[in-house]
Amino acid sequence: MRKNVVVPLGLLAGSLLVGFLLVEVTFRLTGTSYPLWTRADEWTGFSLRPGAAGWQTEEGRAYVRINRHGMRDKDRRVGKPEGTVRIAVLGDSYTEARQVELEKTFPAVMEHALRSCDRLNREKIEVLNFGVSGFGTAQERIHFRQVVRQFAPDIVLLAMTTGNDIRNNSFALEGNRMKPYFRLDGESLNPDFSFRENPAFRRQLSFSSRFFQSLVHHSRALQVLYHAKKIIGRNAAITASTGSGTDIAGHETGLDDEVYREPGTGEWREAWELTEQILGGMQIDVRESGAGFAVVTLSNGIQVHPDPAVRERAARELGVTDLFYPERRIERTGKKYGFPTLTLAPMMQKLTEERTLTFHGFEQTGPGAGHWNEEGHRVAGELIARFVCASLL
Amino acid sequence: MSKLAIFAELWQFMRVRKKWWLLPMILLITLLGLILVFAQGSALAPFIYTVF
Repeated sequence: MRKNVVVPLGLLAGSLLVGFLLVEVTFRLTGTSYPLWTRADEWTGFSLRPGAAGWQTEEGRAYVRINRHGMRDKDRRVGKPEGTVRIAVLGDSYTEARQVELEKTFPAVMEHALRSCDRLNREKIEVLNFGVSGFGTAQERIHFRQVVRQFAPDIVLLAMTTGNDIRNNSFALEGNRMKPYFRLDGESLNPDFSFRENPAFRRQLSFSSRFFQSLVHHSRALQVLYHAKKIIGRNAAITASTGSGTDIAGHETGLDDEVYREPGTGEWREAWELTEQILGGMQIDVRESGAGFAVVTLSNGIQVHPDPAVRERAARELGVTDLFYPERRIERTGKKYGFPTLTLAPMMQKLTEERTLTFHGFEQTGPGAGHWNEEGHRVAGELIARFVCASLL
Repeated sequence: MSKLAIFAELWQFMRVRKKWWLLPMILLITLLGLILVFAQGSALAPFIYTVF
């Protein structure tokens, strides 16, 4: 009787195991991988997973490797080498730049371009990439305090994506309970780490969850399954965000058209206020560490769209004369708190017109949408390097 | 049509030779293949971040 059960069960288990191994080998031979790029983090909600590596093929195509310090960068030492000027770039997905190869990312372009900066007296230059996809300014400030400061940078550059960073800083607009925020209590700005008490977040830190993530980290077949689960979540998020600004020309899901005009609601006024105060606080944090601080605003696809008619239509539909409200506001914030700013979008729009360049978009997205392509990173890296060389070194 | 014939032949093979232990393996491989196709064909939204 017992044999009658054991043999079929053994055959079932063996068959499933062989099937799983066949799939695993096939995925490895064909280069199919969906690495777990992130892990739960008690300070920033999530951070890049050290050692994660694989091909990113959803937008653009690049082999991405996260170094042992959790940076999308080559291996770096925590201690700054003698005779080196070190620049830390903080930012979100534009800075992490999984869409392009590492040497094509704008921090890498900067590092290369700054070697010929005449203000350097034989010092070497290092530009460290601390970008994490999905971060907002609040997380970037906390990331500086917890991680970046240890690397003793001489200059800290905050790369802002105005298309979503402002919203990212507001719980009222974002509604994500898995990450930290800053809260305005009267005049004072205080960090809010209440996400740590969220059961969903605590589950991410549990032994069973970390064990499962470790299995996924090592198995291509499990990566495909986990990726499919994430896609279901993403599709739900796309459906939830449909309706807000979807009629505006060049609208992109996940980016906010509201940033291009004076805030019209209490939530947006608060989001801007929070962003400005976080920037002011970050400037103090950075200066106290002995480094210089500057903010660079990047470009959103619609601001530098290769077709001027699309840009004009978007501005008309939004009731604004141009799409540079966030740039002007960040510039004003810089003047208020005393930090230099570089606004790339107007400069890149000019270049788009003069040289018919397309800075955003890949085969999968079409031109003018999504993150920067290689051209966008190249031009941005060179412009930022020129700014750093002239104003910060 | 010929692709479907492969499955019919496999079924015949398992039935005649009594190799039923192959069935879970084939189902698992098919399922993971379908999930891979689903994962590759999903809508692209570069600025929607599903972290966990």
